[in-house]
Amino acid sequence: MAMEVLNTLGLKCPQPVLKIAVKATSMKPGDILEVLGDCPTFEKDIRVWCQRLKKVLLSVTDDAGGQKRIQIQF
Amino acid sequence: MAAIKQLCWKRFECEEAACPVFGTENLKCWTISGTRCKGCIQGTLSEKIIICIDCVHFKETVDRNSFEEALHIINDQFIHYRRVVEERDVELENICKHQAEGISEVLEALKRISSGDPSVRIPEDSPIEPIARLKHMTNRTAENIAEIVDLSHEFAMSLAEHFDVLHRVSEGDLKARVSGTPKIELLEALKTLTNTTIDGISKEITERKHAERAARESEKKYRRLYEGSRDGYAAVNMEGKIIEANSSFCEMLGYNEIELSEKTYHDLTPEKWHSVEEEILQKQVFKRGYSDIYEMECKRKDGTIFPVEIRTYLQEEDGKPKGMWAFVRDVSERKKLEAEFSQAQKMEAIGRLTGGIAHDFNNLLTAIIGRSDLLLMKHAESDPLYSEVEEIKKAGQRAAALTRQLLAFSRKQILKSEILDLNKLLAEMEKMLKPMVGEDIELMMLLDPDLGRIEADPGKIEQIVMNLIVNSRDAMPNGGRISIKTGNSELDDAFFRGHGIHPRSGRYVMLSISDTGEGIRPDIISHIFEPFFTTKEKGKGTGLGLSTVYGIVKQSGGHIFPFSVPGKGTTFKIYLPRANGKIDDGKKEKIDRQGLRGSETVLLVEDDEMVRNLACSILEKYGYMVLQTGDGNDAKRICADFKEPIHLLLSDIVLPGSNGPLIAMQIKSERPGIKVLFMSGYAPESVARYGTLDPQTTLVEKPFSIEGLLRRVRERLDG
Repeated sequence: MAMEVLNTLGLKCPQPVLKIAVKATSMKPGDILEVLGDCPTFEKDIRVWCQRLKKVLLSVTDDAGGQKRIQIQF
Repeated sequence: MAAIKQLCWKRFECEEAACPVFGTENLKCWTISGTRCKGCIQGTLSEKIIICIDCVHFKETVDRNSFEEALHIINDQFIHYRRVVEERDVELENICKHQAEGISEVLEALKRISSGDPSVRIPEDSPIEPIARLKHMTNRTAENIAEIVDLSHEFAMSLAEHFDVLHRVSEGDLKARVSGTPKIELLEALKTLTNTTIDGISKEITERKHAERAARESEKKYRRLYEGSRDGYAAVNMEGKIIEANSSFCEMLGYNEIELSEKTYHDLTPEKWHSVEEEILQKQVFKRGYSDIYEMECKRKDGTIFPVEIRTYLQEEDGKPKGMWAFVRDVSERKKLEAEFSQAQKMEAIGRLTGGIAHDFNNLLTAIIGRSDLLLMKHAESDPLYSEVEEIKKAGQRAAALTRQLLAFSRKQILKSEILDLNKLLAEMEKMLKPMVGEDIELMMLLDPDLGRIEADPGKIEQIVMNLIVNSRDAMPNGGRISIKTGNSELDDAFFRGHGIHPRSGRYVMLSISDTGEGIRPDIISHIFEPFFTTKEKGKGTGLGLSTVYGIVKQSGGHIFPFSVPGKGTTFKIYLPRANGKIDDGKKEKIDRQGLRGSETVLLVEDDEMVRNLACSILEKYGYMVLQTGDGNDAKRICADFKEPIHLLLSDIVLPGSNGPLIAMQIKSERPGIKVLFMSGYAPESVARYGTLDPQTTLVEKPFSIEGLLRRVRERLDG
């Protein structure tokens, strides 16, 4: 079970989701992807994406300066 | 107001009717704004002052009062204008404030929009219309951008899901489908299209996988058949060269695949078959594509020839012969089994023949011996006829002994089977056997202490051992060794099939008798059990020894197999079925040798007239009253008609249309006290269930002697 980090800071939504979609193809069941983002709709978009693609949203952490750190399990 | 000395419209003969002064009598035109002097409209009072100062009419008409009046008017106007200016200042200040606030709100909203948050909305009210409109436009812009952002999110989510689904499908997850309910018609259509496409691909892949699996299974089956088949498979090209062969074919011929690839099919068959094979190819294979199954021979690498069964097929490509392939079956084993089966059938036929002859002979011999006995009783020993009759009787007895052996071979003798310990029986025989084999021959007994029991006639087993030991002894004129071994054996179907015998798998007791004698030649080993087959010098053997052994073993439900190597020795292995019962205690009936006479009534049932008359004569001579008949039904009638007691039923086992035990059972139901004694020369298959009688059953074996018959009758009546 591996953990990878995807930095989408500065990218406006829905670009982070598109980045995650591409990254998802290399993730194996059980792997965790941590995504960093600062777009105002970043969290909402990730939640919707997880719900639609049946992935587990493990945690959402608020960092300083409007940045968020979201962990997704595949 | 003072009247004006001169009116301007009159002075200048003005025709401007629209001028506010035109036609009036007391209005001073310099105090009136908006006059129309000489075609030009003079607006406000302050504007026309300069014009009025230069005007002739003003200069000539104005006076101090008029001037003051005008100044008052100007002053009033100035005050009015100052107030207006002040009001405008306040108004402008408010406007600036609202403008600043509105623009600030708009800027803040635009900032949020530009940061990617189009959800921002600002209040649209403002006293300044442009600001209100600007705010309204900002909100509309935000709404429009939000709509576009929502759309882009919807597209992005849908694209991500499509991407994920297609990726899963590409990884082999054929159940992956795009879900969700997009609001955008295009995405809904794309979802339907994607899912339909995946359905189609999935179906195609599933079908292809099934087809591939089926093909793999088929290939496996083919491989299993190809490699696992006992039949050989070989393919040749049109030059007859072997291009493919399975392992069975290689093993059959003793070559490996590489060696075979250098051979033609002619190399693998004896030359005499080449023309036959060519003819089959020309007349069958090339004409209709395949041959009938035909038999021929093949030649192994070591040069040995063996029989095979072949079917050859033509292999074509684009309608042209490309080669041939064939299934080749080694039929050596089958041929051997066929020969063994044929031998078994022959033995059975000989058995039936000898059995039939012996049975008829028995009846004749019974009469000859019995009548001889009666004649001997009528003549004194000094009588010259006495010795001649005695010779007749002796010849009859010798013939009867031969007949018994024939019956043994034909398995039609009566066996008195009991549960016995073969080891014990052999141990008891050892003392008798040692002097019989002589000092030059070592007799070894290797008996399994855990040996199972058998159910057999001990006398007949002794006969088997004796016969085999005698043969072994005769095969070792210069001495040697005889080994008698026993052991338990589990025989399976394969064992029996290997010997060409109908399988009767189960637990057996094995008795083997081996010698180190001259052995038996392979060409005669298949004949050794035939009656009258002997290799001994004339007069030294009857040729019935081994056939008797064979008959007893078979009738006891066993099997016998000879193994022999000329010059090395012979082993006979006998397998007898294991029995579960307890060993009989061996208590034999003690024969009471009191007087053989009697006065009881005997019902005699015997279809052979000679035997019946003889038995009747003997019994009557010794005091018995005899009721006789040759028919079972007649016997029942006699029983019904005869009102006195009948003490004994003396009946043949085999009767026309019936049998002794059945008649006995029917008569006993009417006369429960009647005793029964059977006579028989053999136990034919028609009454097979009586083939082995209870040891307690009293039986008169034919041919019988007078004493033998009388003793059996007396024992039965007194028993």
